[in-house]
Amino acid sequence: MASRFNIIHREHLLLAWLIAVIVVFFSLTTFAARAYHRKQERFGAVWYRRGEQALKQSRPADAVEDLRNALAYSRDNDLYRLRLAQALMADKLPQEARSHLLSLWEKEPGDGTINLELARLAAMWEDTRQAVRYYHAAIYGVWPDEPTAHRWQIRFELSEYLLRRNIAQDTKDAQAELVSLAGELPSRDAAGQTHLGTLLLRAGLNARALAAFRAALAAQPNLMPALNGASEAAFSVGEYQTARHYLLPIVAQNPKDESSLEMLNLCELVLKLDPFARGLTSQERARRALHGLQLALARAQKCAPPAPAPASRPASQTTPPGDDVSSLLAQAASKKSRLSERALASNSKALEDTVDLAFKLEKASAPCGPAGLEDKALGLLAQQWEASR
Amino acid sequence: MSASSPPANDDAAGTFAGRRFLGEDQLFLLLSILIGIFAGLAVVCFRMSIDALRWIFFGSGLLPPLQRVVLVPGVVGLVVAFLVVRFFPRVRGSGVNQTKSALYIYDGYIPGSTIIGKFITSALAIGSGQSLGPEDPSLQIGAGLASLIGRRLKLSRENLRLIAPVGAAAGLAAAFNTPIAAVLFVIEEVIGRWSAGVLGAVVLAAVSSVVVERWFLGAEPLFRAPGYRLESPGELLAYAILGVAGGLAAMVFVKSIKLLRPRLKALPTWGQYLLPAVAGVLIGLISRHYPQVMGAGYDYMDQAMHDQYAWEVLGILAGLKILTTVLSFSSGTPGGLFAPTLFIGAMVGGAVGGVERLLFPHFTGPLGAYALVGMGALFAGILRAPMTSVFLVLEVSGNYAIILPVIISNALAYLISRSLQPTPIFDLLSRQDGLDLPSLEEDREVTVLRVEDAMRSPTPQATLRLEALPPPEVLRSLPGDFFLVQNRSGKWGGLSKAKLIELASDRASRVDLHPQDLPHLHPDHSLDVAMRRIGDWPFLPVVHRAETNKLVGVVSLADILEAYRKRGSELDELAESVDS
Repeated sequence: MASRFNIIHREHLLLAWLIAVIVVFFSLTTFAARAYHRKQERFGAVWYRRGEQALKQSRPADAVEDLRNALAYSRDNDLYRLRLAQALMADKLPQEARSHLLSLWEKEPGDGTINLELARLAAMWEDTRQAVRYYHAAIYGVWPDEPTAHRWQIRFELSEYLLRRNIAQDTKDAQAELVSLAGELPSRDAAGQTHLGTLLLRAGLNARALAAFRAALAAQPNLMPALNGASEAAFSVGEYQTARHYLLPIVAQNPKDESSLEMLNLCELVLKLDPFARGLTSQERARRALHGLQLALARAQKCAPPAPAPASRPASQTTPPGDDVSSLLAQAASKKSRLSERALASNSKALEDTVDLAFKLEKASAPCGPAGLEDKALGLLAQQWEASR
Repeated sequence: MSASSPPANDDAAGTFAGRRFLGEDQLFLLLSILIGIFAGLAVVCFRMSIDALRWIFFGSGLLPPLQRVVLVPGVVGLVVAFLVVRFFPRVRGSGVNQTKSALYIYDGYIPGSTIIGKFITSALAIGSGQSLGPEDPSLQIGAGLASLIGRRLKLSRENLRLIAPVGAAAGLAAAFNTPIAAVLFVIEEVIGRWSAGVLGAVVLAAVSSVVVERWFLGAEPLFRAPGYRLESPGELLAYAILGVAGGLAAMVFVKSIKLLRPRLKALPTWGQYLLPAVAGVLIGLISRHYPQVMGAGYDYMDQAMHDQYAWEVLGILAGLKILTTVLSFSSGTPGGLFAPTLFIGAMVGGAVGGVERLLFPHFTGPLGAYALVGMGALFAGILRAPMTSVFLVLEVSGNYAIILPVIISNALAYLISRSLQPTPIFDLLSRQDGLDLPSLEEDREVTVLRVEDAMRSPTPQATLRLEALPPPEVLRSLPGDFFLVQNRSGKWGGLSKAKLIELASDRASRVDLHPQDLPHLHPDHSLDVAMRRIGDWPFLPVVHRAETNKLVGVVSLADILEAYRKRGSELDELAESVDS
């Protein structure tokens, strides 16, 4: 009995001894591990700071080395890995950057920054499908601070990328992004609305662009890029009065801005030549119609080429039968005796026919060489007339 | 205590066997957990020591200062050689074979000095840039700790033998943070057989050591490779090519060690003092241009997985790592082969992936996947542990989607390496050291003899039906003294001729005269099973598995022995033809 007690007692003692040794060993290891981790964290932080500094000083190669060192001390530190990826991109090492970003993406597929960087890489490689996918993931992704601002910014970036590609389908996709952005962007954000307006203009959504510029100008009336954009948008949609309104302060502020000056002059000429402008008397309309016809005749007569064989004409310049310069000149000659201000003022149908003839002549004379300012104005009116019909 | 005379703990009074407080099995399992904790703590300290030494020797940057890369490995190599030759002669090499020796030769005995020596010398060697890894030493440290604890608790000789592999699994699991791969490796390579008794202990030890390791060093997998996806089914062909490349690289590596190690080992004692230093200096010279080859190289494997290197650089790094590891290992410097194997594999894999991307840019997945698969391929090719190689890749990457390419590459690398270099590296090393340890790889080559190889067709006279016994006079004329008799339920039993004649003449169906049920065999049973079952029976029935009443043959002890004899002479002839 006593020997059995001794054996059990000894067994207890041995196990207790073993556990005591484990406790001591564990404590010592804990102490050593804390020191080890502190050292690792310190090394990592030092290398990270150096890398950040190198990035700020535009030394991406040094930044890459430093951040690699930082990452070696903290392999699961996502911030270090992300900064390394960004440094690699800056150092023109996109493959390696992508690899790190994919590692991060695996862990955080909804992270906005990671998706954005991956989108930029895909955009750089012209992999549009992936780029759009990552851009969208970034737009709807998680952003630790100012998520809305980030989303707007990325939508801008995505739209710019799509417009830069200059492919019809991509332009359509860009239009969709911009329309969506127009609904989200606050109207008081003058800079944002201006940026939006500029992209809308590039995407061919001129009316929406004008609205964006108007919103920008409402928030900041003298914002020059918005004024420029608004004038261009208004001009594009045929709102010459509005365009003139925006061009006047531009020219006043910068009289040497030739393109704005020319556009202003053009606007004024359009307004001056337009026979269908509101508030005109019938005499004035008749006078403008006759003046327009004279301008068109003068240009057409200057070049009046012999009617070319139909096959040799480019398709884009093909005019309907009877709408070539010679036929139109012949029409004008036949009508000349009946055209007077009084006759036109009293006969709106004759007025319309005269204006129509003038515009057709102007259009048919387009291949005749560079047009003067008045001819350009008449051409713009002709386009508007054609569109309205 | 000398290595050749380990203490025998089989005296019943001094063991735990038969005690009431805890049965031997329960105690063994409890000890496995404690050993796992010990091994985990030791491996954590070991890894921290290696890093601390590296910081002391080379500073905190990944790229070591040029002036130190030659000096440090050389000087530290001298120190390591001094320690190994003078104080710890048993710590040379990787540690896997030493653990196997403890299991098969020294009754599980690993001296305490080996643990200390392995810890110090391996940490110094790896920390100073020798091209070796910390996993095999961790395995030996774990095994040593287990042996020490087992001896302290006076375990029986049988359990003391088994406790060393339990510690080995714990050490390896903590070193790699891979419990499954560690268990498989110890079963595949160290123990060499699947045994339910030891499996539970090995698993418990591995899991507890990994828990400890993760507690201190974090739960992240060893590598964080970018996501794998198969770009096209044709990409599997590239992974097959990677398997072939891995097999060839494995063959070059093993053959180089096979050639160089015995020559260096044969040098006199002064040579043993100088060899690690010379290897260190050579590695240092190489490292002036390619510092990636120094040490275990995990950071560089991670970089290779993240596309840092062009394929040409990856190819060069693979070649240089083979060279530097062969130098370090053959010089007798303590340290492991696992990490260099993975390094070479990552570089070969990355290079193959890089070439594929060059040729087929739109059909190539991330390079990291190739590096990962390459690791598995080299592991299968060099260490010849095919199951472990698959699970190791899955566990070190935490990526289970990659399994298909891993299996393809590993299988090819394994087959190519095995056909070009039949002897596995650990068997090669043990034979170079004059030891003859059992080899699972060679066991796999041995064809199991089955009952179908020994059985013969039953003669109609020897097999009778109880319901239709011939008359006694006919029975008397039949040859043989023992007969198979099928009873009414269709089962086969056996009866001697005398009892059969008695039964045939007295139809009163005396119970004591009915045939006894015989143990039966199936054609696919091994002859080992047949030997166990045959007992004193003159022969046993061999029956169909689907129709157990259908007799397909009979087998006697003489048939079994004849089959063994025949196979033995076939193997002798084969060995003679190979030798010639």
